[in-house]
Amino acid sequence: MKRNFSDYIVAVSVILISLVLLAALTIALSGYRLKKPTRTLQINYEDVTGIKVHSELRYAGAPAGRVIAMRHLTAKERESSPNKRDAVRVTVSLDDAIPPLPADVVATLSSDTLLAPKFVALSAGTPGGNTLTNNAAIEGHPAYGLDQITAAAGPLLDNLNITVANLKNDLGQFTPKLGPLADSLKIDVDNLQNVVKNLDGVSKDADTVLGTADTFISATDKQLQEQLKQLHVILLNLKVVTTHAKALVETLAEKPNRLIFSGKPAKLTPESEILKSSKPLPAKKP
Amino acid sequence: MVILLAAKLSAFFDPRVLSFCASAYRILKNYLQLNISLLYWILIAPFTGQFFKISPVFRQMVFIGVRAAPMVALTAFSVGVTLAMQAAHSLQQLGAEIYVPDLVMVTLLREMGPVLIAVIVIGRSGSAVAAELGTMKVSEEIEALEVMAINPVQYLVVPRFLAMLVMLPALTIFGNYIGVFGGWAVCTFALDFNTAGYVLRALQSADTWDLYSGMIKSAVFAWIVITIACNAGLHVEGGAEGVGQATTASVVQALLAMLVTNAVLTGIFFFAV
Repeated sequence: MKRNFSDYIVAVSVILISLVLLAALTIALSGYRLKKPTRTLQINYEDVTGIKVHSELRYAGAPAGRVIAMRHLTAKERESSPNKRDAVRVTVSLDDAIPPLPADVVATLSSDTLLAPKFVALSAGTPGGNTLTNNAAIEGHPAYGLDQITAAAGPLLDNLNITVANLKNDLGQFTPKLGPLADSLKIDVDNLQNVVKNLDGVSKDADTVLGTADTFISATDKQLQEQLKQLHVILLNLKVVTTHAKALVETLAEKPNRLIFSGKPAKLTPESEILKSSKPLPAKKP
Repeated sequence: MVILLAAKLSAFFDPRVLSFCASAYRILKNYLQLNISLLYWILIAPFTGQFFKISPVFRQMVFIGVRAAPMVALTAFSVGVTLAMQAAHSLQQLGAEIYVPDLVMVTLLREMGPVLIAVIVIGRSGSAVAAELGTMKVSEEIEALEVMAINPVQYLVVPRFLAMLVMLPALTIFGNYIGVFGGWAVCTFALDFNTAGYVLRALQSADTWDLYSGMIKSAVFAWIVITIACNAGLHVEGGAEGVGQATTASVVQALLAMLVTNAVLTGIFFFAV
């Protein structure tokens, strides 16, 4: 009897503990909360791929709460929504420590890396303005991940296909016109070759002319240099003559009596000194 | 008619094949009879005033379930640790080790928890039940019960069946927690996870259906394991050697049946649910 009693206690304890553990796990996995969140925010999205109940909420990059519910919008709600493409409403709970959210916060879906789990991201918004009320509904923006880029590339590829098809069509129309164009191009090229040949002859003639001009300039230059040398000598002689002429004029002007009564003539400045000097010199040495 | 059919078949098949088929047929027939009898004593007999005793059920719960808990805990912890390490090894190459808790949680809840804990229970409790009933059979205790107008299924099988049906899912819940704890140990001490991050990731990855699909599997395994063990024990022939053979056969049959049923149930859950 004693053994039976202990078996009862142990077995019942194990069953109760198992039930408690099962209930705890069920509650945890289902996302049910015993304490109702005090602050919530509703966000309408076109697509919430990657987001689940329990997904993280980040405000300005820092953890701020959790996704507590997700549901599809009804047809009426979709019609009344500012963005008709919105299809899912995500309800997030905000931690009590998070300050009131500015009205211009932007809700997006984001992830740390390509492989990392997605989370609901709220931008910081502008402080000092209006704030969102509790359980307010805002418009969510889609995530810009690889999926979205791929999705966006779909229409682009479709357009590319159309463009390629049009190009093929245009090419088909353009190819027959290429024959006459190619013929006229050939004629133009022949003409161009003739022009080039003529230009070659012109270039040779120009070379000859330039050679002759060079010879002429060389001969002229030598003659010019010789004449300049002669002119230099003439100028030097002229320099001496003008200096002596100054003495003659001075003598004639200042002392005519010496011509009449004779006397010792004054000594003239030597010719070598006049030629060396770069300045006018007195005709007579003092 | 049957003899004539057997004579005709023996002309075409090897006698060993026919012997195996006859043995399989006999085991299957006994197994179905046992199941029908069991359902009668559990579901119908109580309404006719033939209640089974409750105290043996609790005694069997302690024997089958509570005493297997340490082995289950050790197994589940090892599985959780191994899963986390293997997952981390592969996921780190992709820079995705954040998914280690997801993998540990989902794998344990859906597959590894129910299957491995059933394996432990088959090895420990199923074989013990087969050996106990087999020993009672060869020592003619079961015939003695029948002489006393006590139905052996009501007296011996029903308490074990109910105990297994309650305790295997309970052990599975327990094992799931221990396995997730093993994954936490690896993630915290080797992968620099914090506890909150690990728990949140693990809870985020699974949903309630993952848990309950594992529990359904566990209940079905309990049925299969205990009925095969009881069937093997109740039909032992040939003394102590027969008990040993019946125990081995019960373990092998239970393991095969459990694994095949697991595949079938996984297929049903995968395609139908």
